[in-house]
Amino acid sequence: MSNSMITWCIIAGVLLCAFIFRAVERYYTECHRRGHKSKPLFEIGMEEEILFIPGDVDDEEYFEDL
Amino acid sequence: MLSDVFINIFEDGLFSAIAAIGFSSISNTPRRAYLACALIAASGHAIRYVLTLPEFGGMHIILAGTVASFAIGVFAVLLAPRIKCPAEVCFFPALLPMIPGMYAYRTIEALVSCLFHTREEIFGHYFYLLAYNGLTCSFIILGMVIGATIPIYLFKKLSFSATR
Amino acid sequence: MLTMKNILRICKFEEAGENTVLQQTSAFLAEYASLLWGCGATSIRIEKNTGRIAKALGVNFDICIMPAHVEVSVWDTDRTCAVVALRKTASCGISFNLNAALSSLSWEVEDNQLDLSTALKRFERLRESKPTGKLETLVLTSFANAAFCRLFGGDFVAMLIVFVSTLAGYKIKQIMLEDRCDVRLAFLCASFFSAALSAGGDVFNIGATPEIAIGTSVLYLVPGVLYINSVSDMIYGHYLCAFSRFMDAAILTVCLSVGLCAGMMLFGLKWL
Repeated sequence: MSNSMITWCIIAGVLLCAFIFRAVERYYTECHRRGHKSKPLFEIGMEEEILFIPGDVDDEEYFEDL
Repeated sequence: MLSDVFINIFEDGLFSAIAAIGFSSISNTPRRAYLACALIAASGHAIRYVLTLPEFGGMHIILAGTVASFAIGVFAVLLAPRIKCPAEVCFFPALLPMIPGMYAYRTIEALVSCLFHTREEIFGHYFYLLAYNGLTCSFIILGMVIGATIPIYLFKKLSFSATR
Repeated sequence: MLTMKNILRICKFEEAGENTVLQQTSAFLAEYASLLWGCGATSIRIEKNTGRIAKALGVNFDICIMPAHVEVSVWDTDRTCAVVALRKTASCGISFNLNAALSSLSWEVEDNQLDLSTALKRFERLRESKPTGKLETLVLTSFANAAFCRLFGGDFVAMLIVFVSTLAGYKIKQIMLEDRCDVRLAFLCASFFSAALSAGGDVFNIGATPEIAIGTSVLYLVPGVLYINSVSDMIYGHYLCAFSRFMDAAILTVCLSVGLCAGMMLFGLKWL
């Protein structure tokens, strides 16, 4: 496989990914508009949300008592 | 031999009709105008093809384009009142397959090549290509539009009241 | 000179409310002309249509068409009161459908003697009209470009390559314009990806005419309507508009050629 073949395949792959990503994104926004609850495809989560263990101290609540 | 020529002419008309409908759909042509545009484009492009054939005199592309677009203009003015569209809605899509797109972008390509080469003869060659493609492109478009506009002047009353 | 007589005259008209009618008429005409320019009508058509409406509404009228604005001046029959309206030209994209509808509106106003409020209502309805479906345009354009490839002497493999690359390139253009990207950037990206995809014929050695496939793959981006409009304006003496439209078209052509050159350079193909 020559260099230009690899380049071509990368470009075609990038395009395909872009179109698929766009279609999925469109699908999710369409669901959202209709009122269904759907989670976005990508989301930046907080550390506590991901690594929460019962019994952890919530910082905000902790300071409220003081 | 003769049937081959006819098949070529027919093919030319058919494909330019498809091209005209497709390219005009980019500019939101009304659906009722599709058929008329296709017919006009097919006849116009076929006329240009015939005129540029060496067997039929091999006319230069600028002159052939002008004659073909004159025909396009006449057909457009005649068909426009039937589909209730202004004449330019008919003939613009029909002219689109004749737009010298290749000359247009070759001009720019030649310009880019000019910038890359500094040796006089190579630079001169690309500069020649730049001027040749640019001039041909502009004069084809100029001839086309003038050719298509003359019928509008000839049938002034008909063409400006097409949407009435 | 402001003589007493003239001042009295102005006062009289302000009382009679003639001024507001003139104001509304001029605003309507300016918006009509602005939309007509936006949908890609030639300057001569803008002049004719607005003139026709003004005549039917019974006002004297003049129009100044500039590349980015239209200015309409309307005055009453005894030249005592004049109103000027200036509008930015609409940016709705070229639409022959809208052009035809607006032209027939101008004839309706003249033939059926519509009054200003009815004309305004119809105009607002036309302004809301929807463009051709995106999928339909996408498929038709791809077929058109494939047919174009055939006209330039490409074989069926080249037609197929052009079809696919146009499909991808035009979709990119649609997506970028939906996301409100700059038109020039959209043209650059679309032509780059179209050229790169159609270079597949050359890279993988498919078909007998791969160079025609590359050459025709970007032709759907050539702004033909702008070029025709520009020459048409030039013929009728609207040189400023003609130059502006020509520059718009030329810049888009530059963008598409640069995209094409970049695509060809990536695969080490010679372009001239």
